[in-house]
Amino acid sequence: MQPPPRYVRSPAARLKRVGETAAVYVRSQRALHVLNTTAALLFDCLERPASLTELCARLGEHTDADPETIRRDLAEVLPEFVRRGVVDRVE
Amino acid sequence: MKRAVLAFPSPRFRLEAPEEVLAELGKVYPESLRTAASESAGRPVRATFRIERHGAGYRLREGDGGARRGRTVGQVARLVGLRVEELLLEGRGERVAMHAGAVAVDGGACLVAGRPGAGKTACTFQLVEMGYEFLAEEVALIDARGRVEPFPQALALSTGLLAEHDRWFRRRSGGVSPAAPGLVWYRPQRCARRPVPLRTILLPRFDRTATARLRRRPTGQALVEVLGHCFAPVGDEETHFEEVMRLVDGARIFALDYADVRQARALLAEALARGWR
Repeated sequence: MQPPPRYVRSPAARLKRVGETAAVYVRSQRALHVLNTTAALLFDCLERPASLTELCARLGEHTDADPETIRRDLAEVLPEFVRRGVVDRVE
Repeated sequence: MKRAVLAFPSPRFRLEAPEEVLAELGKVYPESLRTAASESAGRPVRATFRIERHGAGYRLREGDGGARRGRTVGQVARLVGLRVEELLLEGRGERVAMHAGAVAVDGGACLVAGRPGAGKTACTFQLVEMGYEFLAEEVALIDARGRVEPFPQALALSTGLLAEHDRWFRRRSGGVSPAAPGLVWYRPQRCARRPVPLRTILLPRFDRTATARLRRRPTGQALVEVLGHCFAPVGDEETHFEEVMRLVDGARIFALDYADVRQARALLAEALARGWR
């Protein structure tokens, strides 16, 4: 059985915070993506590689949302982060 | 041939041109075009433009470079204007350059940024007509201290916009002179002379079917839009993004939807009376 994929911040992505605004700059794609509070929190949680289950647990410590909602949201947002070069998928 | 200097606060350009071309450039840059004699010698210039009559038209040379041709006085003046804008952008260094108009409102700069046709010029014109000092049009440069630099020039207005304005309001600012078919040069009566700290960013959207409204935009939402109105940086892109984030974070940002100049002016007047609150 294959281990579940793990995710980690891309080394090309750097978080920028000015005032209440958080954005991530992806040098390899020369793009800036503005992050909402949850996305910024997720980016923080991705400092070390983590599986979907581990990320759910990490995010759950900071939000009141139920685990199933967090898992569903992450399943949507992580592929988007990977596509935009913000996050790398490590097998 | 007569000699003159285009003396923006920075940079400066030397000109040699027939009298009629200098007269046309005087309409575009009424605050900045000076006779060579009135300028102190030895001050550095960014470029020298030489314009000569050539056949039925004019020939423009920059330094020892190749020639560009204009058929009319207006065309050759426009070529000079475009080149001045290019050189201004090329020499901007670490300054942020935005595709925007700008006015000084109560000691703070208001940038009017938007895509072509969004109403940048129309709103800048309205603010000038409301009595505020003109800072820039088309290209606004913001220095490392977050100040918008003055770049005095005339606004190119469509005759339709001017007619629409004059239908509702008495024109109080500077003069108007013909520029090209359907276009006039509008000379702002009051121009700021010093850099002014950026306080407000206005994002107009002109649409004949729009419901008029002015609403505050959260910084995060507006950041990408504002970045889209910036010229590509000369230096490091990451530093540029950080700089723009800092500027956006320190400014109030408003989206202005409007269908005619009367609505735009009424909403702006109301917001200004409330101190943009």
